[in-house]
Amino acid sequence: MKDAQLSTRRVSRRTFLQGLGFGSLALVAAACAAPAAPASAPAASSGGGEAAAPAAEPVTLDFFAWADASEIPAWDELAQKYMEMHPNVTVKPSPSGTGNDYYTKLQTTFAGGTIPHITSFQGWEWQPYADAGLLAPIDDYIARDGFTAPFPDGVKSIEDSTRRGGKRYLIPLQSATMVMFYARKPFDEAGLAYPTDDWTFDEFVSMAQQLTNLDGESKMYGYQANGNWVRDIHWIRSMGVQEFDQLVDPKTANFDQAEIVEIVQMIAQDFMYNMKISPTPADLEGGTNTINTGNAAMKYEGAWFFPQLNSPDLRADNKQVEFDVVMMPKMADESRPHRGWAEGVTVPKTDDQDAAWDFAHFMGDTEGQKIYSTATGRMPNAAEVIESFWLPTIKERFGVTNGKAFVEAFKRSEVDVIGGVSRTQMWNEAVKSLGWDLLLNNDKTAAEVLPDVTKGVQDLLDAYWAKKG
Amino acid sequence: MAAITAPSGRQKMTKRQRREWIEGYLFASPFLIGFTLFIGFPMLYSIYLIFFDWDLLRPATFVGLDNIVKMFADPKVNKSLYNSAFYTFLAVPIQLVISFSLAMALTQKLRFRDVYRAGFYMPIIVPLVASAVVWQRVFHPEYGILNEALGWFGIEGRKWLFDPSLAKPAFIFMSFWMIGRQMVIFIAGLGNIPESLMEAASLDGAGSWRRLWTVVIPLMTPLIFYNMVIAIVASFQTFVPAMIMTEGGPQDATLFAVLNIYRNGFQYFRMGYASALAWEFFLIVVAFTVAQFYISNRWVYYEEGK
Repeated sequence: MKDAQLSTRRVSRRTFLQGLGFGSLALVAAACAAPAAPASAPAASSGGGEAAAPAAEPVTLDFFAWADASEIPAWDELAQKYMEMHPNVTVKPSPSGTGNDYYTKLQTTFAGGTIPHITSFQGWEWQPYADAGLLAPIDDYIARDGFTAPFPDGVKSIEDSTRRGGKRYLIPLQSATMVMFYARKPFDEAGLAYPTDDWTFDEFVSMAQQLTNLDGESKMYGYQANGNWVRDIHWIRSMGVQEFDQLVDPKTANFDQAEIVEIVQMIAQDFMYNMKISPTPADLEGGTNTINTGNAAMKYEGAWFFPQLNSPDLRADNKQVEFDVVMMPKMADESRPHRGWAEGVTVPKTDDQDAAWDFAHFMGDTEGQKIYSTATGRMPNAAEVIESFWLPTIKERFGVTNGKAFVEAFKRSEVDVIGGVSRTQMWNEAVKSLGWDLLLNNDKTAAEVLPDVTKGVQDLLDAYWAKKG
Repeated sequence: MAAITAPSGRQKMTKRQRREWIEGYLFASPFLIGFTLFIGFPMLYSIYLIFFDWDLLRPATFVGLDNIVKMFADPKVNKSLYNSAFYTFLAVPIQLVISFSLAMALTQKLRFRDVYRAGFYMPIIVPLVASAVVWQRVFHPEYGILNEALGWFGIEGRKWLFDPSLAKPAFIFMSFWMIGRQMVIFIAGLGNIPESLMEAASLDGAGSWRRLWTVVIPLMTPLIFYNMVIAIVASFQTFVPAMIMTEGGPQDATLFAVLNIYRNGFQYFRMGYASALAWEFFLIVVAFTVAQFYISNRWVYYEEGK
């Protein structure tokens, strides 16, 4: 009797399991019924025709940010500073990888409907998003706020990388270009004078050969070749030719011109396997045999590379590489074109477009630029900030005395290629597998692979234009 | 529970039966809902996507059979299927031999046997990305321990992950450190072999090898078959090591089928085409698995009556 009484008071196993099942079902239903993230909607604003005023209502801005190691603290500092100035605004930077990973996440984020308020973009990647109507033009905002410093007249690389179809989309946070970095120590040990801005290609090759020493335990390579088409674009253009009929919205690819074959053969293969002045991809595996590790004397890089070689933190640990920079050597094209573009952020079409613009404007304006370039070393977007702030700062922080090489390089810069078929797509789908993989593995010559590269890229362009009608 | 009678004399469900029926589905509902939402619906939707061109940014556009036609003409598809097949049909038999041998050894009475068993099982619980990074260091052409070890025997080091003819064998070699799961299953199976059968075979004059071949292996065939099926399906799905270590290179030598699908979907943003590739791959693996089950009737021994 007592046991029966007890059993009526206790929860039976059946009842317990029933409750568990109902509870699980309720949890699943609750999760599925959770409000979805707001879908994107074309902003009601026409681009900020009204007077500038930060919204008084609380606003949360999602910032889908490029996650380079030096940029992450910059985003945090910029967000923090802006929020101190605008207490009603919460900025949430979401560092989301770099390279292919970043754009994979970004594109799936857009597809999933959780469109961020601000997105990082390199100057050649945002165009398909603009073509799809996902980005807000910022011309009216620029006019309203008089924010013209990052868009100087006459700098074609900025025009090409920020404007499309007559409208401006990208807010530059840096003026990007690349020059030759050289480590001082190998030159000192070899008794060679440092390169200067008026050096030639033959002098560059000669220096690299004299600096190379593969005997002994610690190797030294004269030049750390970058090993991909996008970096080798500089050498191609310096020959006075280009791979496309036009650099914006190209229709025709032509990689197998004689000048391109000649220079690609040298840069992407001979340097590594015949002249042996550059480490091969196998030699570079795991970050070995690089200029960072003190095993290469020269490398073609951009200002973002400063913190990797020399910085206050590296000096504190005595791990710095003392270095400086020069313009790329003179070659066949006497105008000495350098690669250049703007990198920055865009404002996707969302309901908080005005607030997003305000934050983007802050990042691109003087105070934001100082914060950004101090942390990252990158060249700011306005000439005045470059001269008065950036050049002294990079000398003090990174030991760069010839920062003007960047300024000169950017003045004569041109974009890589911009259009509906992005540079990344060309590289991933054609140029890498048909060309550079074979070259870098020493399996085929440039003369053998570049016709296939031409065909591969042409197929992509033809498919794009056919779809566009 | 009362049995439900044949259709012609079908009895109406009692209240209790209905309640039990509902309770059963309620208990299963979390799984059913999750499966439908996260597996079933995406699978069906991907069939729909096969006939569309969709880059995630713009609305999908109908292209009919273009994706299927393209799939059959794309040399990378054949290359990726070949790579997956090469890897699978070489790696799996060797994995089974190694894991079975280890299981045989670790069912003997050894000192620290449990430590050995745990040690061989440990790699299973290491995250795949972490192990890929470690193996990348092992295969390093200049500083890797594999080339270092080969050097002890006077063998010249190789550029394992940079030579198209060596990259897949390197991946196959790497797969051997993940045989712990198969080993554990074999150990369990070996433990279930009746001692009486082994004694009887000994009494009949069977030596060790004979006992292995005529008693142990036949009794283990169900588990060998199980491990084989699981290992083949898992090998076909190889993705993370290729993604991390070689990105499909050198020269597409490690471009496995799943990596090719991922690239087309999430790097080239051709969702329709990637769906076509995914379903082609799915059908191939299913067909192969069905064939295995069919052939298994010839060599897998199940106990009588079961």
